[in-house]
Amino acid sequence: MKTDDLIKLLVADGPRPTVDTSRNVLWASALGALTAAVLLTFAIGARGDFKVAMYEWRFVAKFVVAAALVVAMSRAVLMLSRPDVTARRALMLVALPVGLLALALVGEMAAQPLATWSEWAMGTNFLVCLVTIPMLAVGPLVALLWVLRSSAPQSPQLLGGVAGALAGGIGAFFYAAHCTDDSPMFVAIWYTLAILILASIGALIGRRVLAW
Amino acid sequence: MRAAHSGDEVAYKRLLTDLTPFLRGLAREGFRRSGVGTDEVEDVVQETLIAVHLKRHTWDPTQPLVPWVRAIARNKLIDTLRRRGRRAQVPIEDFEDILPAEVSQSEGAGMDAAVMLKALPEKQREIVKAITMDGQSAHEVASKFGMTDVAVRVTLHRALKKLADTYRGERS
Repeated sequence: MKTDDLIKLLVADGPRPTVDTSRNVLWASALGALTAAVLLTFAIGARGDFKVAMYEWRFVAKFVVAAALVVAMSRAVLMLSRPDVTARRALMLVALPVGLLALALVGEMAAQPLATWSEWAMGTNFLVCLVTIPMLAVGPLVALLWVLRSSAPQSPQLLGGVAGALAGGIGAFFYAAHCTDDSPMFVAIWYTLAILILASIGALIGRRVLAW
Repeated sequence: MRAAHSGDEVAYKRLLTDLTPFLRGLAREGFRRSGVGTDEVEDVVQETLIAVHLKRHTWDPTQPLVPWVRAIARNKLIDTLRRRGRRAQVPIEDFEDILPAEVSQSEGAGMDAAVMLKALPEKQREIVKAITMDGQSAHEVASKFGMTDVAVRVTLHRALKKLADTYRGERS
């Protein structure tokens, strides 16, 4: 086909109003969070001693780290949804939640005797953690991938992966209210693993649905 | 581009026409550096134009347009080189001083139009033909086929997406 002919086609296609990706991502995250909140409230349930646990720093730290992940990954998603942003700058944002988690981990290691570490790390219910976080993250992931379809990422796979991590952060935030394993050692292993699973799923789907 | 967002077809056409030599220069330089023949230059140019068009709504009007277009061109170039089995390493900075390339006699045409059109459903094909070959506007096409303007645009838009897929997938 002649390039001049192609230009005729493109011009005939007419204008299209600008899309505000940051607003859409915000909406998708909010909607996803709502589905996770509903699932938590009606299907999974918060832990019985929620009100007491609120005064325990290790319990609170789970929410802080998850929230930091959500904030950092939202920013990264917005950056990576553009064709002209390099991946390295966006991925450096992960230092925020990882740094906070490392701090909590150091505090925990100082507080707990070495002999009990493996017990804290294994917790009581890591399988439930690995299943429930992805379950809570499905809604956010679907909503995010849906709104990101109109974006123009340099790497669809990477954007999908980061969207998966963001969804995982939302899932982890709500799961933290149910989970009775509060040790940062447990969080560092099992929450991280659950979020990495979601990032992989996001990358796999993103590669297909976010390609353009 | 700003004018194009508000529906100024003349301005949009001028923008795309002006971008073309620039894109051609980028593509030619990219192929040259990777040591492959330049026979697919026009395909990359066209694929980039379609991508710029289909993603025009994501361009942030407060940002400069050229880096955005250049990034898209670079991505499409790398995709093409990858499909050809080359290790594509095209640093974006390298593109900054490239001069636009004028079209030579044998260029200005990409994949065989007949092959590309064959991939489209009949209605889409007819509309594409009417616009490219007969130079009709969407409005004229609408009255010719007894369709509404909106229906023509919707069909045309689908055709463009399909063409973008053709560039991406069926050229290996």
